[in-house]
Amino acid sequence: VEDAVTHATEAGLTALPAVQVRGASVDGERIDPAAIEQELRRMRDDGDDAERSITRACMSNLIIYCDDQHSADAIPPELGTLVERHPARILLLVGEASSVAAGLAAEVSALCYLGTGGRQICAEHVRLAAAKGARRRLAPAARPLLIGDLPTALWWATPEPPPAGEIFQELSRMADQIVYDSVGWRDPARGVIAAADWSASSGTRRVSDLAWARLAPWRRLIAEAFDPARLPGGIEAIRDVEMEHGPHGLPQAWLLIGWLARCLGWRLTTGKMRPGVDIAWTFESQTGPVRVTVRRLPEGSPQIRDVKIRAVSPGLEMQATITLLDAARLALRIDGTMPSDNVVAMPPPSRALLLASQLSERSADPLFRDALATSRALARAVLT
Amino acid sequence: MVIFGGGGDLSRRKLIPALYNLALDGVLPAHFAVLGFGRTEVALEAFRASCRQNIDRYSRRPVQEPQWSDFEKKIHWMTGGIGDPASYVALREALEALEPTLGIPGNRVFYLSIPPSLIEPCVENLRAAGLVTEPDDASRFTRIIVEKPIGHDLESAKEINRGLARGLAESQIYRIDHYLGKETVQNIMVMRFANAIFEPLWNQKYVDHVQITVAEEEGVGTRAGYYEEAGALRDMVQNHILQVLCLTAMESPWSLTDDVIRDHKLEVLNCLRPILPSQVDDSVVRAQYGTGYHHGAEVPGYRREEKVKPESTTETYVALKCYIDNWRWAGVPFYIRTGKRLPKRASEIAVQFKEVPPILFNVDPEAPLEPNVLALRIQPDEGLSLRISAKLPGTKLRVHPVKMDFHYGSTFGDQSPEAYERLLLDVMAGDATLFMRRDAVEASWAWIMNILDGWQQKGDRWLPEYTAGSWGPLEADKLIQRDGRLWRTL
Repeated sequence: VEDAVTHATEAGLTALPAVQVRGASVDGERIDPAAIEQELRRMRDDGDDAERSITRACMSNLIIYCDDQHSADAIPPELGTLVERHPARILLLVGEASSVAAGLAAEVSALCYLGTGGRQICAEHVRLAAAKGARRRLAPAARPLLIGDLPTALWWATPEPPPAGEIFQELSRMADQIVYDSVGWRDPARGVIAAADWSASSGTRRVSDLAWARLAPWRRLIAEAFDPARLPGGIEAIRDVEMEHGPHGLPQAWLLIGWLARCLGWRLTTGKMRPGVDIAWTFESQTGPVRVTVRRLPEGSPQIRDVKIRAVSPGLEMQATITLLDAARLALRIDGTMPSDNVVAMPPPSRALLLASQLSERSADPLFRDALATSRALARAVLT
Repeated sequence: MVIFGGGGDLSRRKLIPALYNLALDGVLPAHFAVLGFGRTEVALEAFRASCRQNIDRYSRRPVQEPQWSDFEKKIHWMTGGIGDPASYVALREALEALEPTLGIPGNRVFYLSIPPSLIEPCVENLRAAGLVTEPDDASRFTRIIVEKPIGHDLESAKEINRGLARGLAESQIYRIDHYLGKETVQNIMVMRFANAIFEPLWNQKYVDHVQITVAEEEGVGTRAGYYEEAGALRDMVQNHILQVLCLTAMESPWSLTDDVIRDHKLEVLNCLRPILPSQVDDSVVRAQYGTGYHHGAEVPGYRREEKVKPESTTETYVALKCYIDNWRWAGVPFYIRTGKRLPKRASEIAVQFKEVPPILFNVDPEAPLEPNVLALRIQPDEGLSLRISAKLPGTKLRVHPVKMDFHYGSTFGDQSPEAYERLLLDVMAGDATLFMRRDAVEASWAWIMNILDGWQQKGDRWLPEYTAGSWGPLEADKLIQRDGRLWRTL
């Protein structure tokens, strides 16, 4: 929380200080939700004086779950950006906090920024940390802190794919939307299968993968490169796709392939993994076979780095290459028919911004759902 | 005012602090005394000292001087037995001695904070001792306040009412339900009938369903002895919740006089569609809390609570669906739930309106727009909120549910009196609006009896369990999900 305050201050935001909740000792056996609510109210009242007026803003409840203190400590610096885009009551739950000796500890703070007219706008932040062995107490402690009549989202900020054990089940039952990030999964193939199976059975709840959200500029450029108005017959002529990604970026690459396959009606026929070299799949399109190869680069950022798509048909031979130049730019080069070379800005989407954009969406994303279902098929083809 | 059971829990925690707050506000009659009546031998000074302690502990405002010194003089104590006729004679003599010195004209309120089984003997003894005036005596009045539970079932409620009626006229009887004294409960009528925008929508044409929730976060605590015999249906639904339901659903009264409003509330009870014993499984869910977490600490299940039988089938949770068969509410389900060891203490009435048509903004069947909900929070944080849909700022057209919130505390400050303050004052003023009339008590018991009979016929030896700290059992979720709806998150 101190980091969040610092970050908020550096970003030109103001912040009300974090406070321990009265009535809930640091290593206490009891966390009284009424005391937490009272403390949040008191914080609002204390900051609200004749010279400045505080507006409490809240569009949603956001539950963030982290396995341990290390990953939880990385969250608060992002919260200032998040609440400025999507004000929410944030409940940050820490599964095993080394700073907590026993039971649960609670801490509340407000994240504030200056809105139009100099208004100070604040979002509420409650951190509930569990000592080792007390993880199961988190969900019941969080439940009474949700604000009724507002949507509730769960950001599953762990490297374990959903559904991941009892705490995930309990927390996800409280949420209308579940957000996770497949970048960093330790066993991508099994993770994708598990997440896809769970997602298919999650009913009307919106499921989001931040890795999918990061693909938006890639998908836009691919769509532009093969726009039928610009390149008639280009889509049907695709024969070969090559993709490179950084470490731990495999699920994202599969999502992009899944999106292509679903949009273009490709049917998966075979999949083969050459450990340490690449993974290759063969699809059958309406006009012939399509070969897709994915290679993992040994180092660098985990996201997709390069995509080459070759299209060949009588009278048409072209290759679209999309390359990540740096964190902020993508280059699209087209060789062959109608060559071009363009660089487009790709504003680096922080996790907080990606998350904020997901929280504002209420409808399920059918493209993601389909891409995830195809990813599952890709994963199964490799495993079998 | 004479409080039978004057040394008891209710007197210490609620009644004496309520009277003190009324005194602070300057609304107690100038000529007033409160006399505690109980078995314990207590010196007057000791009783007054304990009252002071209890006010400091339980009152919304602490003891203040010089008001306390004035109030203290109005407190008296008498030792006596509820079943002992001689004690009542002594009481009459004490009152007759006290009243002239304080200028009290003989108006008497007897608060019967005693077990139901003692009500009838108490009333008989009062009458026999000449402590009950005639109802049409214009010079002075006698009023009796009786606490819930009024009976354990319909027959015992009738028995209590018959006992009361033998010694008193109905106009002298005030059956108290402290729930009705809460500001927000009183605000139901104000909200409905003092605003033009709600009442036109308050019917089956626009309302999809109504949810009434009374959630308690505490377990059975020290009340196991009573609760084992009562359970959630008797403890909460039969009285508090049905009263709230009546205020929510009643037709517009043509006057604010007590009997007009009570007539209208009775009409709702008479229109409640009976849940026949054979239908209980389809419309009612009962359950007990199991082990779980409360405020982050592990708590035992109900059957492992102190003084609870290990094989107990007393319900600590009830959820039910009912209908009011009249023109206004035809086909509109009312979902009721109440329970102990739920995630938080919260009581509310939520009126959910019908969905907007599936055109323009409500076109995604997988993510329909959240319907409008008007929620009246009874406790804590009294107020009301209205959920509406709004456009999210930005270049895209996205619709997001937002909540317009009114908090009593934020608007009016912390001025709300305790329920007992209002109710005691009403008794002194002779306003019975917020008290239950005999016919309403018996009508609500008659409706409840079908459910109790259904349970008895089934003879269950095991009830579904819900985890302490959760919002209830899965069976309750299914009850509402069968209709394509969900319980609200409070």
